[in-house]
Amino acid sequence: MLFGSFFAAYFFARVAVPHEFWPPLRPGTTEPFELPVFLALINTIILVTSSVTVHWAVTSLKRNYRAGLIAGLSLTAILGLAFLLIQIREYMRIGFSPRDEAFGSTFFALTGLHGAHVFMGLMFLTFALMRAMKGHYSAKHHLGLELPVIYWHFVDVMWIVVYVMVYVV
Amino acid sequence: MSPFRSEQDAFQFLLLVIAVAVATAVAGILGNGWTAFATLVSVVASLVVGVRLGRRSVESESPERSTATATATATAGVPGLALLVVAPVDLADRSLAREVVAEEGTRSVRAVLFAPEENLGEPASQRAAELRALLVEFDVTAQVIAVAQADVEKAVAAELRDGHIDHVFVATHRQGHSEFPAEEELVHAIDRASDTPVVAVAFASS
Repeated sequence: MLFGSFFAAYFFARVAVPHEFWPPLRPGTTEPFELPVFLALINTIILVTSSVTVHWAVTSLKRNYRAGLIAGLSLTAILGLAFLLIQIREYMRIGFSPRDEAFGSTFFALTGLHGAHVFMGLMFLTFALMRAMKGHYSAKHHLGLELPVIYWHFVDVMWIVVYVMVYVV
Repeated sequence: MSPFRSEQDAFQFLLLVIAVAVATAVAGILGNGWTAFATLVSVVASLVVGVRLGRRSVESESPERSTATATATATAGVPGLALLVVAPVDLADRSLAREVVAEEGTRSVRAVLFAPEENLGEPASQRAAELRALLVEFDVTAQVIAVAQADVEKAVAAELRDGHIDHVFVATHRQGHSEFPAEEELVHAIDRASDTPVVAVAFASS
């Protein structure tokens, strides 16, 4: 719902507000706002890879392969952290702020909301990793792992939508 | 498929979203925003219609079963989760096969069908062969045996010892059926005897 309302705001800004270009021109210039599409693509690859590693972690647990579980979760946490650090770096160098027209507001609202979800997912997965290291999960009982992993896939799905809608199309 | 039902479903949903996103992105790059929007709507609509039609055609298929053939193990060697299915002979039908295939990532099945000793014989073997053929039809490697009810725990223990089994799937009759108490006890016995996860699913008699 929250993402839906933010996307609605983004599309409204994009469709209803008359702009000759998208991203629009910077106020008082003939230069449009620029988005770091390539950097975001790297972030997309990182996040998709993290979903694969976390899926590997769950599959390993189901096969009673604990080393795979720990390695998968560790890799996922590292990739999630890398995603956040790259996004912070992107914010620092992007050249516009949330105050720059509806474009800036909706861009930071959408990507920031997603970043907050990644941060929460990272917390969940870190706790899951700590519990896994203590041997808390088994092939039979692992709901405490499966739920944060489903959440992580959801975060990944949302990023793909954000990436395609905001950066590519 | 609900992405919230299990991790496996969520992962499959993610792969689906990636495919749709790639199509939308390509359309957006080649055309414009509206082209991408039209592509997104048509791809999603096609997927929804395709899934619904596929589900309806599976549900409306005739209950006739194909006979067992020598191609039963044609897909052997395909990686994925291995499932041990334990079921009364009279529940070994298309509903069971479909439910087994719906289990996350099932690619290989070893099935132990059981019946009272006096009912073992040609009909039980026929059911076993039919179940195997149904599973192969769903592109799953299948080996099916039929044993006497008294020997089922022993047969399950042997299967768990010999084969690499990821899950045990026990089919039971519904609560209220005369066989249900014994089958429920069997589920508990299998669960106690092994560390392998056990799933019990109740089916209506066919």
